Amino acid sequence: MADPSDLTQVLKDASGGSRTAADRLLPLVYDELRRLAQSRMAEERSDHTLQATALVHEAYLKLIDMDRVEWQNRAHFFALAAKAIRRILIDHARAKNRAKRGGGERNLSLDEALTIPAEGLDMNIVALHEALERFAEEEPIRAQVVELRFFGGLSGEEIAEVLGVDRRTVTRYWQHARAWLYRELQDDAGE
Amino acid sequence: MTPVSRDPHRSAGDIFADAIDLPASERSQFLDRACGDDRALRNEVDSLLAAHQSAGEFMNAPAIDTDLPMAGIEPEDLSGTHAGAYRLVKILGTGGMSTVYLGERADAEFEKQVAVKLIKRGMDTDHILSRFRNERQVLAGLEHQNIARLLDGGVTADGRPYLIMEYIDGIPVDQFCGRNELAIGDRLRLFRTVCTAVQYAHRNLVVHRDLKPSNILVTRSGKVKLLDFGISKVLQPESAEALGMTATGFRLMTPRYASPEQVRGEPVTTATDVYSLGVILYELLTGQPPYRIKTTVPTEVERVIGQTEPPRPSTVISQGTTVPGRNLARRLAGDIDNIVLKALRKEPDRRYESADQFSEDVRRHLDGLPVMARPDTVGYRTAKFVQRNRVPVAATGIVFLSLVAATILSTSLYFRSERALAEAEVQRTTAGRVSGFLEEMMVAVDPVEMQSGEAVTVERILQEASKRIDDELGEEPAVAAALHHTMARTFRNLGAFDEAKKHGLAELALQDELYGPRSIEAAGGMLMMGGIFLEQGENERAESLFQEVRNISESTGNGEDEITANTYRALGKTRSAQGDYEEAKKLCRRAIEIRRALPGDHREELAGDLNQLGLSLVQSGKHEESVAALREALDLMTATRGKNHTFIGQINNNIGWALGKRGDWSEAAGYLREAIVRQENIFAPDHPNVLVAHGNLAQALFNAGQLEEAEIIYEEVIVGFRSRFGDRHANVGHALNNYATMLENGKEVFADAADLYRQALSIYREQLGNEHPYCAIANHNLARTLHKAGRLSDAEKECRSALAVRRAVLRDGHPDIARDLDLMGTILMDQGDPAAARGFYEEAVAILRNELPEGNERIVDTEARLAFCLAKIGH
Repeated sequence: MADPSDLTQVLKDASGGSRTAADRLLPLVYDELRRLAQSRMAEERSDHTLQATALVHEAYLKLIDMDRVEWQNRAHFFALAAKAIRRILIDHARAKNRAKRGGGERNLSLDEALTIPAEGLDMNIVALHEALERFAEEEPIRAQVVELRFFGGLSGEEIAEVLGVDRRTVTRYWQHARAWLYRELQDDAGE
Repeated sequence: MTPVSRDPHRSAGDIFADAIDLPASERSQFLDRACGDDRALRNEVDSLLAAHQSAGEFMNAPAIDTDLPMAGIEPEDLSGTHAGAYRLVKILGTGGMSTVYLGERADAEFEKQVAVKLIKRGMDTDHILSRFRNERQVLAGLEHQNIARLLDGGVTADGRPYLIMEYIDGIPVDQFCGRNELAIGDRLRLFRTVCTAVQYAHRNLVVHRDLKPSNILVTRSGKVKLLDFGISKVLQPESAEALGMTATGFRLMTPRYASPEQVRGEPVTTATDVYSLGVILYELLTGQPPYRIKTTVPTEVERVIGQTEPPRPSTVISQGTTVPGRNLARRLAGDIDNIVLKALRKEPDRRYESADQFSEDVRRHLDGLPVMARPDTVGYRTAKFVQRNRVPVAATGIVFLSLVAATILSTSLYFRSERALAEAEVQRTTAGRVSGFLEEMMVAVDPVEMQSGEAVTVERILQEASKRIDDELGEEPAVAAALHHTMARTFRNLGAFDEAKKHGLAELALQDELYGPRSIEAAGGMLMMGGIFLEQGENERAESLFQEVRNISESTGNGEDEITANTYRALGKTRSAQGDYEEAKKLCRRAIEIRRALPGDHREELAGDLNQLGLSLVQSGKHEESVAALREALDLMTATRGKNHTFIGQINNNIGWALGKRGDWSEAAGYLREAIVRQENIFAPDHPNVLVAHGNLAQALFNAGQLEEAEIIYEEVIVGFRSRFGDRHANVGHALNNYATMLENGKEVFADAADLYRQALSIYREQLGNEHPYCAIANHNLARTLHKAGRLSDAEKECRSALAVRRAVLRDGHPDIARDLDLMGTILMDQGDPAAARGFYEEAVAILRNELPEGNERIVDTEARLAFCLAKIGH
């Protein structure tokens, strides 16, 4: 009944913004990350530095059987997972912001917002997410590079495979998107 | 104005990207050329370049590295704080679920060091505590020189459970052997001491479940101490037992030492510990684990442990072994290979029967006597395991317990609403007419009166009565309505829901005629109809009827009368059926509140409310509260009806169920035995109530691991039902089905289980028609067993049949349909057809998401399977 091209379509829909597929995946990704992080903490008491990116990769590995999956599907799985992680992070930040507002505090502390060392620009992840949505209206593919790299923790090579472009193009897209977003957030902050 | 010199297809982003690749000195010239006289474009590129210059490390680290929402994963060091009377001195070690501290008596009256196991946040605290309360007597009673004592337990000021244990200053047994370079013989003798301690615990009905070298310490003086006996049972989340191979369940054991049954999520017995002892001995002798598990993917772990054979110990002696002496391989070959591998057999019943027997075989080897272990035959292994590769699916059985529970509620509920009706003057005469009519009906089908010699059945009487109500009682609508009510209830109890509905609707139509639409007099009938809808899983229709009754009772009364209370209870039952146990509890509590405030004696009805509340509490995992509510119900019934009312037996039964759900099947068995005594005081030994109670007891004993007694009782129950009802009665089907569940899940004799499921199925089909929920249940169980037995195409056929029945009988989107869909998906996956499996999984997920509260384990499980399926498509 179902053939692989259907799956590809579903996953593409998901990458294109459909929430259902990402919805399906989100609890899995999230649970897996938590679990990995926890078991890691339990095993490695001497080294408390969590390499979260490594965790994400391990979560991918656990969720799909990498050896047996064609790249095409794997790529879309990555895309979906990146989207899921993005939502996890955004939902989390929003929840925290709400809690903060309830408490009458306004400043975001380090653990919930990204602090950008350059130029002293403080940016929170929700603002970044919103800026990225605006960017995606003009440059959907480049915005996806951001999603895969910044949220999904994928390497340039992996992104190249997911998007079916060459490695250099990924770098160019990334640089453009990063500069665009930086400027956008600076403008936000200036307002 | 179109710039002549630039490529109109090149965007600011592209020009920007080109520009930053160039040395700064060449940029300006490049930009002039690329942007031409398009000022807007040039401004955009310049602005991007400026942003690039000052962006620094902006976004270079993935968000997840900086912003991972995993608050609380840092292991906090609580040294210096207190747990009960003990001060936490320092961390001794940490595991997945707990951190162990060295503790000292805070009052310093006498110096005593203990180990304090503090449960991590995020665990199901309530459940752990109730488990602990359950287990503490047993665990505290373990007094053996080689077992670290459990001293106490409790909850810290901030609500975290902890256990206080004897502090052992020692090192893990494998390290001890290595450091002291113990010879083979010494290792074997040390191992026998471990076996002695394990055997002692087993005799006291405690299974360790997580035996591994780090739980077996050797002190400086050479004394062996086993830690954490029974603790993993206390920490086990309730859900994990039912779920099998989920990530949740998986975390609870150490895969390296886990037995095949553990990784498959099957019941854990003393044989499980024997297996872990085998792994430990393997490692002590070879310095190697029997399996190389390089993955944490659950299916892969299950495959490796469940299907692959470990190499013989003598073949894996490595360079790095800490065992001294030469010719190690020759020393291990033969007896020791056989001994170790016997303990490591996949099938629990083919291992050593006990730790003692294991130890004894080691002793025989040490003494140079022949050992009982023999090499396993290749034929046996392959025949048995060649096709084992399955994802466990939660078992479905027709459980006597819940059937009985449902009956209590409904009887009491309708009893009350009928009594409310009886207050109307007309009812007095009606009652007489109803019984008169029924008497006539009995006579009409009396074999003596009938010429044909046909067998008389309840169904026949009812069918005859159905025909005659309208013909003969046209002039007496009140009597007809009451009869329709009785008929509806009887058909409902027979499981003939369509017939029941017909009568229920007829009753309501007559009530409307008599009292006007939606009158308070119709409330009883409406509650009944709602109850029938509930039985069929049409929860929303039931709910809307109940809501309507609530509106009627609120508009006619003060909203706090008896009918309102009945309605709240019915709504509570509905919510419970919908899986919304929180709301169910609220509604039941509201019913109880109203009931308690009513003038007059309503203790019996109150007991009914408490009973329903208790059932909802069980479902939501509040076992302590549930038992409390049910005990109050029991007290109320005892006070009003004395000890020998049938309801007493049924509440005992439900308490047994609650205790069972809590995981304490042994205590449950006690209540169920009490239920039997109550029933036997009232009914003949072969009365259905007595037989049902026995069936429940068998179920509890099965879950308590007492398979032998359970089996005997099941056989008696089956014989009893057969002689009471005949071979083909639905109750015989229930007994067969439940017995088969035990054979399937407890003894793993799939062929016998499948045979019994088939018998049950054939009975259901014959008695209830092809399209009955019970047919689907037996059919599903049969499919699952065939799947376990590796008979995939038969399993597929049966599962499709179960699915077709459920689709026909249940409303669209009923969660039970998802069970079939889920199993279908799994069968197809195992047949190597993930593309076909996908549709089934997807529909199952859609149904479950729609029906169950977010985060429900069934959703997560099925989603996980879907994810694997999606990942495999295209392979």
